[in-house]
Amino acid sequence: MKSSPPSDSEQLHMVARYELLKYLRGQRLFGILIITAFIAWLMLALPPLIGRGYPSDVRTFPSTFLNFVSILIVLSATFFGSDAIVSEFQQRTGYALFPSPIRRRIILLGKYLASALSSLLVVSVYYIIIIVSAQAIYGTFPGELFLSYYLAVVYMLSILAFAFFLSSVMKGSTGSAVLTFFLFQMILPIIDVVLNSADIDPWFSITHAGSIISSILTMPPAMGEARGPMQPTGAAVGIPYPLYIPEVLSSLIVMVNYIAITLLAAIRVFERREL
Amino acid sequence: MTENLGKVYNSFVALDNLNLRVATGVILGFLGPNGAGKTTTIKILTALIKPTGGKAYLNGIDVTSNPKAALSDVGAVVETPEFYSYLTPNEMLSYLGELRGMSSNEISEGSRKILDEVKLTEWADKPIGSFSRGMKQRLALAQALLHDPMILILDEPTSGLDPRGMHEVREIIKILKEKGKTVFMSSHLLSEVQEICDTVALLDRGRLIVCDKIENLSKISPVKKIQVQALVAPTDSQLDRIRRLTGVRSVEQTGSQVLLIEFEGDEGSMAELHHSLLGLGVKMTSFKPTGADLEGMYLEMIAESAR
Repeated sequence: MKSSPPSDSEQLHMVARYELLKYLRGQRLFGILIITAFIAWLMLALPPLIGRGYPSDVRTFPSTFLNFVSILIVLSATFFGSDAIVSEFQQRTGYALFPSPIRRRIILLGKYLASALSSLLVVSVYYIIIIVSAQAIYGTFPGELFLSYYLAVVYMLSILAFAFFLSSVMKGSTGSAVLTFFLFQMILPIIDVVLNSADIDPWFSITHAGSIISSILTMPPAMGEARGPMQPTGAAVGIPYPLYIPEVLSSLIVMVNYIAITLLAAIRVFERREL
Repeated sequence: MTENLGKVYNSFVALDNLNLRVATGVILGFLGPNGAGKTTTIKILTALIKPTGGKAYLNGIDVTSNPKAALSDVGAVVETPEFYSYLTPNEMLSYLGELRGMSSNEISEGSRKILDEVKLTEWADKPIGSFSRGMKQRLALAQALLHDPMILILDEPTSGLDPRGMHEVREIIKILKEKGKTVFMSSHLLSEVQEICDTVALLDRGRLIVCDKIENLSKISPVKKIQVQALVAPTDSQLDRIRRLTGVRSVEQTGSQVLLIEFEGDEGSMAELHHSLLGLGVKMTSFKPTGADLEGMYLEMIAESAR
């Protein structure tokens, strides 16, 4: 019974498979799908219930939904990414896994693949609900939803990569989960608002870049020209200062860079971390 | 094998130029007081931590630069590992077996056999989350043995087990010895090391004090322990007189009819001791030297190292 270890790519798939099993057995995937369905139900059921009905414009209807995509992505990162690495150290499961003939980077990438697939399922389900609902209510849906979906997937990958970096650095699972959630849901958005108010374009911010997911339906047709301090569009959402709106291309570049940089940083930290 | 292996945590030297070579087929007991560097060595050997100096090799492959190849024919139990609570022992073994490149047939056959050996067969399909520490320790041993490795690195393998479990693990290690496997095993239980291992490496404050066969170590410390079983319990007066016999360091009554005599001397002196005991009227049913007094040697060498 003498076998040599499988290739890195085979091992990556093995790690991903068992990580997916963890999400299924631990009810995480089921839990976040319930949250997704609940958000969608609220968006669909509340307007008629409070007697306001749906917006008359087919573009306004999905844009309301899209405001919650980033929350779902952050929740996915919290559920699937925040404890992926730190738990191996905190719960001591690394004592069984790390002495196996597998590179640590493969462990991390396998876990990342599993969390990306799970998050992709969540995001896809949400977009399917939006498209099906728009089709059912209005008989059509804006084509920009597909672009929004692709951007949401890239944003999800970047937030997950960042969550993996935090998970590699943090000492406890709870701290990692709390930090992941509040960083992307509160701290970075606050910084974006403050930079906006100071008339500084936060183009480098991952959450600012992620706002393209929803703004794609509301921004002017010539998106590239919308860059820079605009007329006080912020006033429309109650923000009394110029609002910078990200471009599609620059947002994509920022998000892809976040994926590469934070994932590499996560690998580097994980490989050096001692148990 | 380690070559000038060193590990420094901030300013604390956990390992100081450790040079250790373990030959194939040897069962090496790795001894030392708490903080001596035993677990640090084992963690370096299993790629859990990186050394700050020197090299560690398994099967001639550098663990630090190529852990995947170095660990491919190694089974390890480090501390008391935890396992994914949502998996069953069969699934856990399947996961680790797959990572090692075992086929599904090898995994299912190997799991069945090894879970039987560690007495976890009836728990094979129960979630590990409900397992006791001892059961997890048994599973840890099972995953280390699953792929039938040539080298086993065991960090206190009987820790957390009940006496029966400890006995069973020792029996497993003895079988490994018969199979010609190389076992590197740390333990706090000197009697366990004496029973299982043929070589002992003693570590203190990160430095190797001695590494030799147990039989050679007995020459370092001529102190032996002799277990005497008497037909009737010796009287206090008899005990006093035994304590005054030449070479006797101490006498401990471990049972009403059992004496444990710490004795210093060669085989001739031991024969005289036997004769003297009969002369004192101790009706012996057995007179059994228990070999080198590893504990005495251990304490002596640790004390010497501290000076």
